[in-house]
Amino acid sequence: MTILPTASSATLGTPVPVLPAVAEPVASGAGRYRRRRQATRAWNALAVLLSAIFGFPIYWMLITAFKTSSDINSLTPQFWPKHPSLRGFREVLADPIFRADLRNSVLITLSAVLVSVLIGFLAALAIARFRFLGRKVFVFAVLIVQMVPLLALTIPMSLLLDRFQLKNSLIGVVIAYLMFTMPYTVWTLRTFIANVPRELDEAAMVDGCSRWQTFYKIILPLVGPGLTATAVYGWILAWNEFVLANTLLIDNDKQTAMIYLLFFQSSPVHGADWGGLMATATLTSLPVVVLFVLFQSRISAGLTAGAVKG
Amino acid sequence: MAVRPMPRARPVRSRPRPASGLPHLLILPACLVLALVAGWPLVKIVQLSLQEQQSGKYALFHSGGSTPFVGLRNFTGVLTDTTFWTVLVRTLVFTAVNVGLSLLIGLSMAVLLNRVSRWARLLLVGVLLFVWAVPSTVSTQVFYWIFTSQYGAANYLLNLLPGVSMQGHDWFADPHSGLAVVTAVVVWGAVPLLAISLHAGISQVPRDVLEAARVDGAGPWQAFRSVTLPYLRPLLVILSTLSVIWDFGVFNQIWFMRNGHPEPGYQTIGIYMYSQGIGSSHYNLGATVGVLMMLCLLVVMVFYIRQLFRIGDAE
Repeated sequence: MTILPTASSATLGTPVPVLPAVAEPVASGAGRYRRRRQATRAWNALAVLLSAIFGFPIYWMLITAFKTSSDINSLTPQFWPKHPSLRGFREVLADPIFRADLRNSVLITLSAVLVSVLIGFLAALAIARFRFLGRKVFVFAVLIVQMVPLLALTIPMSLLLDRFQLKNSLIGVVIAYLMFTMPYTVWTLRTFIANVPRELDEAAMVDGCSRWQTFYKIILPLVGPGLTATAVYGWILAWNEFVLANTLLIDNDKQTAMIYLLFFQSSPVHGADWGGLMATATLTSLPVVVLFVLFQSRISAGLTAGAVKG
Repeated sequence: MAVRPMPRARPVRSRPRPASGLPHLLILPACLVLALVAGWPLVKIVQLSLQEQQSGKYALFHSGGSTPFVGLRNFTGVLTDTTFWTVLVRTLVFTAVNVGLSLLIGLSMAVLLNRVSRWARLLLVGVLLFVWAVPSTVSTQVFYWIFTSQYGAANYLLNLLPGVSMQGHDWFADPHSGLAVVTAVVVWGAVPLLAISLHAGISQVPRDVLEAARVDGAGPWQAFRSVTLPYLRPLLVILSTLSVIWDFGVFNQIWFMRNGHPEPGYQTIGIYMYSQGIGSSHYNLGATVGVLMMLCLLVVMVFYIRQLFRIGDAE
């Protein structure tokens, strides 16, 4: 394609049938600079607007949590808390059921992550570092399980745990959670291990390290950050899970924070207590939001590794 | 003028280690766990879908109930039920709308992120990170509060627009407008992953190829379509397949929006399956719907896994 000499018409502001970029080489340097700066300013404004729109729900959750009931139940909503109050938080934290549910969430999530990281790391090491009979089958199985809709397996899982009297028990939920934390962990850790150059462990072996020393002195320290990121995201997945916990746990004080969040509104004590609900929502999301924001770049590196490689 | 990414030579692999029993020993625990928590339930769900439940829940759990195999009778039952088809069509429309909107907004935002000043990019990415981090259960409760009829912020703000009267409007009376609010939650939660990873993808497009396209007379739109998009293709395929899988099986957002009791008009296939199988204890019917749900997604999954193998990630 050749550059068409019709640039002058572009500066007149009339609609040009030619592609706009064609005009640029002819336009004066200063004009182009100014135009680009103006465009950037418009894009910046759009970015600010989008940030406001996307950030609003979070902002609204936070300020509602800090408002007094009378300020919340007012027909003209206040977009800035006039009388900041901790009433919502105090009320929720004083509820023994919420504290029990929060503790259950921590116990379940921590156990599921620990088990899957320990077992998953071994499997990830095998598929990242060895060729062996059945390796492809195993990789395929992990990927399939990772993709299977968890929701569909709720029914058989609930029957399975019931048979072993593990329904309504935290251990049962931990076992059920391995359904999604395990394949995720294997798959992500595999990526992180594969990113450690194989030449490094070969060099170590040549230098006389045993296989165990190679693993302990070379691979483990290099995979450390990836291991942390995987564990953190596993924590987030398990913490946010709702369906399995809701199906498997029955007693009030044996539920998780997510279930408490759902039943907050239906309970006669808290009905229509928006401040309390938003305080609960804030407290429930805090343990994942903080971790996620801290570890995001490494988490998404693990999630989309390979895909971005092109 | 399609500029395609150059096929890259495969990295030379060092010679595979001689396989001893070690790798098998390493995957053994994971195999056992997967067999228990995924293999067994998968076999069981298929088995349940082929059985008929003739006795109560209690007897069933204490293996005293009778559950004879009935072949495909459950499937013909579900597939001739008009409710199932209504639910399936609703789910497909919901999925298409949600995936479409999420991808469109995510991709536009990724392009925008490449054009703004540094401070604006940091601001928007920062907000997106927080949005990404919020659990879907929490965001649904927040949206429910924003869209509540009496004191909700949405009605108040929309009411400020000239000619719009939204005072006391109930968004959830009509399932369609209720599902529109659900769509808002789903899209809001899905955009950050899409925008941030697509932004990362776009910044990896080589500058000289874009420059070459510009010199050759391609406008911004043409350069985007012919240079950037082909580079993004593998990433886009993976992100859209994941989005389809997530949105097809959406549960939390609808369940929380309706306080644990979704009306028939709100039922997508996941909700329908759960209400049948767990809610009403019709395990066999629920399992049948579950199997059908997995079959629908199988097509998408094969596509996803093939793409993973193609880009060499699964090797």
